[in-house]
Amino acid sequence: MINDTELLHRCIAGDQDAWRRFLTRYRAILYASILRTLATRNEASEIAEDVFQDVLLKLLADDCKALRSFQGRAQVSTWLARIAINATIDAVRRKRARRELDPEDHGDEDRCSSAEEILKRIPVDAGILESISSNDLAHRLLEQLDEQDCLILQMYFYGGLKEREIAELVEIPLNTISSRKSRALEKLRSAARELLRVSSDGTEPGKESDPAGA
Amino acid sequence: MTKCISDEAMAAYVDGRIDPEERRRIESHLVRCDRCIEQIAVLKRVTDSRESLAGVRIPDRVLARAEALIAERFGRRVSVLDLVVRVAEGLVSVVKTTGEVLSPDLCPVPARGRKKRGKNVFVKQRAGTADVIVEMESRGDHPTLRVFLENTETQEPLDGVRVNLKGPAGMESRFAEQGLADFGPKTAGQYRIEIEDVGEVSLEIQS
Repeated sequence: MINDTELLHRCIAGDQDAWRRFLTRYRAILYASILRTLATRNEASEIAEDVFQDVLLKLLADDCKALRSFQGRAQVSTWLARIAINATIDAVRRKRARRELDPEDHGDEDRCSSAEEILKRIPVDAGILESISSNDLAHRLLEQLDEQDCLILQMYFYGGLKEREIAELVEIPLNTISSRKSRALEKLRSAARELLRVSSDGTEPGKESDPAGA
Repeated sequence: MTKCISDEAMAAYVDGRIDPEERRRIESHLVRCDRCIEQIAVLKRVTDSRESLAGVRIPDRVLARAEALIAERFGRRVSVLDLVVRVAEGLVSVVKTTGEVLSPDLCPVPARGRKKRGKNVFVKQRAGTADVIVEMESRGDHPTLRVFLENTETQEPLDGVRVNLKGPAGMESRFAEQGLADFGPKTAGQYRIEIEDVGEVSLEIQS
């Protein structure tokens, strides 16, 4: 069996049989990437077929420019999966823009931010939410964290990854991930309590907390 | 915000093939970019299940479209659609196809108004930038064959495309008018429909 890099070279050279092999070898990971991305965005799988075609068109475009740009730093299949995921997000965005009959692309407005997602997991008095938009609040809270702790929380709560998966990605032992996650959440809780205390005192909530300043 | 992570850098990150400096750069971006966080998560899940992907079910028509696109790009003609129909007791039924059997209310615009439920079938396949729709209408002893061609994006009929039909009685040629190439009644047998710049349709009529 020819290796992945050799196969890419043959595809770039316009070998039709190489493209058939390419399809046989990578169709499953491409299609699985599309389906999984659609599922995480709560989209029906019906557009998967068109997205698959989009991905292929992208790979063929400009004399296989995408293939020629591949430097061999990652596995070919991982790289292709990323291209498929990106194409799916773009397709979903186009579809939603069309559905809303709105010329402006509203992008990911229907998806909350990772900061909001994390905020849902920490107890916060509703009084704060009335005066400060939840996203602003969440961002202010997250700023108190170490960058890597923040990343771990985002991957866990927003990306939906398991602690084991995060440990593999950031290359930190699993038990360290667990303890850092707990510590970061505890820090967020006390930061939220502090913010609540300051806000209820009416002392220094900042301009976001000014109801008239929105 | 820093520029989003390139396709290959993100893939290398998930594969664990990056140096510490690039790792710092990527993680520092990730913590500020929800879109990249989302993509990393999906990418991690998909690549972790790489070994079990053989069971992913991909519809035949998706692969047929992909093959057609490659053939269109690299110049060799391939079959874009295989269709086997059976004609019995004045009704046409699809025995096997790689295309999509359309419900009567989704038939191409030129065919509307004359359709009779159960008397005709429409089978559609996307081939590159064109949609090919083959209609078989049961009439008397022999079904009528029509080929419709539409632009995939706009659904506008394609005009002036040459369509050749090769079958038991030799070859016939039509130029699509208003997206329609009408070949009239056909006897049972094997046919090849060659559509200029699109591809070929293999058709078998059983009686």
